[in-house]
This record gives sequence, C-alpha cells and structure tokens, in this order.
Amino acid sequence: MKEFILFIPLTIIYWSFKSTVLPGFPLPDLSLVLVFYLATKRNTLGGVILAFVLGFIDDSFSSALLGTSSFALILVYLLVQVLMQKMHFTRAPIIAMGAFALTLFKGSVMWVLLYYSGISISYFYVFVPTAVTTALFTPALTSLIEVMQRVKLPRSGRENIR
Amino acid sequence: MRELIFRYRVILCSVLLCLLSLHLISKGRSGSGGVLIVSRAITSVVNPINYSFSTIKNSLTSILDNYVLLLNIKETNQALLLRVDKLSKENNRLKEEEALHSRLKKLISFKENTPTKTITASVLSISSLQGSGGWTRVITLSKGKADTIEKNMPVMSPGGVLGRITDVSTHNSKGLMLIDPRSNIDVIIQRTRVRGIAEGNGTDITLKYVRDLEDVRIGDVIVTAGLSGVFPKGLKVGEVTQVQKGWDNFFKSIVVRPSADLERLEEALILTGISSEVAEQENAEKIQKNLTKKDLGN
Repeated sequence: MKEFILFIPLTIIYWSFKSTVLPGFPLPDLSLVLVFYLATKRNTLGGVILAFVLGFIDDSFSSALLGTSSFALILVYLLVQVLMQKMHFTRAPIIAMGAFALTLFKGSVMWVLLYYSGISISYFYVFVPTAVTTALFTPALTSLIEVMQRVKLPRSGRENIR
Repeated sequence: MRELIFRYRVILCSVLLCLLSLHLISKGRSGSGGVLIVSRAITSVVNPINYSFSTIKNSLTSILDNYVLLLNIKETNQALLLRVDKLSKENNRLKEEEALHSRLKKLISFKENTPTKTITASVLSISSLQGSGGWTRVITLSKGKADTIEKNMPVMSPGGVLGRITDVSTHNSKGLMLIDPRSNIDVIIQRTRVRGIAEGNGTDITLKYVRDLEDVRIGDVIVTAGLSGVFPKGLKVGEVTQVQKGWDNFFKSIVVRPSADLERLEEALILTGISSEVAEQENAEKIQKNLTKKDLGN
C-alpha cells in the first residue's frame, strides 16, 4: 500500500497544474484513473482510504463542496470491485470504456449530491468532456503506472546503487 | 465479532468514509468552521505549488509571446519600415507642398496689392563673394529675356524689396541684392518723409546722407522714394535698427534691417513694368517738383 501513497502528491501536483496552467480545459480525471487502477489491482482497506483522500483533494481544488468527490470515488472504488467479479480490465478498449463509464458515474453521483445541496451544474458540459479525455488517456496512464511499479527497485537494490 | 469486522473491513470502512463525506457535505453547505480549517490547510499546502506552476506558465507564455510568436516579426518589421519610409517621404513632400502653397499665397497676395505687372520667378541661387567692399550678394532667378525680363527691373519678395536685375540671359537673370555693397536705392523714411540713399554693406543696409538734424528713430520704416526710375514709390525696404551720430558730425549713421527675409528665399517677384496709373502719378510728382524748384528759383 505504501507505494500508492505517492498518488497523493502526484494528484496535488496534477490538480495544481490543471488549475493554474490549463484552467477550464477538460483534462483527464487523474483521481478517478488512480482509484480505477487501485481497485483493479487490490481490494484493500488502504484503497478505500486513498480513494477518500484523493476525492478530498479533488474537492479542495475544484472548489466544490468538500466530500462530494470523496463520496463519489469511494462508490467508484466499490463499483469497480463489483465489476471485477464479472469482467477483467486488461485490454485498452475495455479500460477506456470503463474509465468513460466510471467518469460519468462519478459525475452523476456528484451532480446528485450537488443538486441536493442547492448547487446546479451542467452535467453535459462538465462531466462528458472530462469522461472523453479520461477514456482516451486512462489506458496509457494505467500502463505507465504499471511500468513504474515494475521498475521499482527493491530496498536492498537501491541501497546498493547508493 | 472481530473476525466479522475484519472480513468486511473494506465495506465497513467504505460506509464510514461515505458517511464522513456526507457529513462534510452537510457541514460545507452550512459553512461550518471545521471544514473551512481543513480546506484552508490544504490551500496553504498547495499555494506554493500553484505559485510555482503560475510562474512557469507565465514564463512559458512570455517566451511564447515574445519569441515563438514573433518569428515572422522580421518580415512584418521590414514591411512596416518600408511603409514608414514611404509615408515619411510622402509626409515630407506634403510639407514641402504646404510650404510652397503658403509662400505662393503670400506672393499672390503681394502681387495683388502691387500696382505694377509682376512675374514670379524661382530663386535658383544666392551667390556671395567676399570683395573689398564686403560681401557681394547676387541672386539668380529662373526667368530671363524669354519672359520679358529686362535689366534694372526691381526684384521683390512679399517682405519687401530684394534688389534689381543686373544681368539678363535668355532663361535666367541675375539680380543685385539690396544688401550688396554695390546697391544704391533712393529711399525715404515713411514717418518723417526724410530722403536718403540705402546702400548695402553685405549683411544689412546703411542709410546714408540723412542729416544729423533729422528725426530718425529705431523702428522707422524705410520705403522706396521712386526717384531713380527703377523702383516704384512706396515699396518697403526695411526698418531702422540703429541710429548714431556720424563721424563727420553732419550725417547720421543709420543701419537698416531689410524687411525681406533674405535667408529663406525660394521665390521672388520681378516688377516688369510700372502701371500707367503709377507712371502718371510719378510723372505728376516730378512735374510738381520741377515747378516747385522753378518757383523757388524765381
């Protein structure tokens, strides 16, 4: 689980980049991609907590109500766990389709929560473009994370290099 | 029980965190202080990162705006320089046109007010040589015999008398300027009607043969007397700038500044003939003078 802690600063930096360099541009939902990756790899308590933390970071940056993304990402994590019993997210098109559907699902959950909190947002303009870009980038991003996990040297090896 | 909790720990944790999220949402809606503190803490952590990204973004934008997007600036600059050059030339030409228009307007105005026939000529050159008597001043004009120009015709500018024609060729003529040491013009002081001879000294005019008793003041206007037969009467010659007692205690030493702007001459008027009215007037004056002399003689 420790290796996934890296996702937190990564998400913070990504959100910072997104909000300063390309604000308003429908960039992929990195938190969702990371939660999706986590859920496909392991069913652990740490995964749920990480989903909550990543959602919390999302909410902090997106200036939405704190808790909406956290709630949605926990549900995404659980949904992927359920889906994993029926299918395997191994091929790129399936990963892309899964990411697309999950982004829309996350958007739907957030939209409902925000709607009942008195905040109305355009589902089509906010979540659909993000779902498209997330679907396009998720296969590549998950492959990249996987490669990073594989090339990670054992502690003893690192000490030898030093 | 513990085993059950451990078995469904993921589900239980998920439910707890979902409830926490819903709690945060409800707190957020009511603007609770606790949630704000968490949010502020995150913001304080994130601010330096945001600042770094902003700086990078601004630098990149600056590079993009100032270098990458200015790749075609050389061509644009050259085109603009050509345009500036063209406009500058055009502007210069228009300024010249305007100056010419202004000068011609003055000349036409002067021509209309001059009771004689005139011909406008361009000033081709003003030559000056340092002779024994000072600076000679000769003006070359663009009109000659072909334009009915003759020797001794007066040359004028809108400011006043310039001189007289001394040499005429077919298409050009030369005029002796009134400041030339060889120039002598019969003049009178407009205010007191005192006569004198205006002689050039190279830079100004010296008014000679005005008795020491006569009333001459600085600023007095000197006009042609019309006695020599060259200049019609009443043409402005200049203004008195200096009045001193003469070395001989008999004549005053008077310096007159020409009223014509001799440094900026581009066109000049040549008085080709005194009109019949003026001639008649001058003849009448001469006859009257002769009669007066005869009367005095008797």
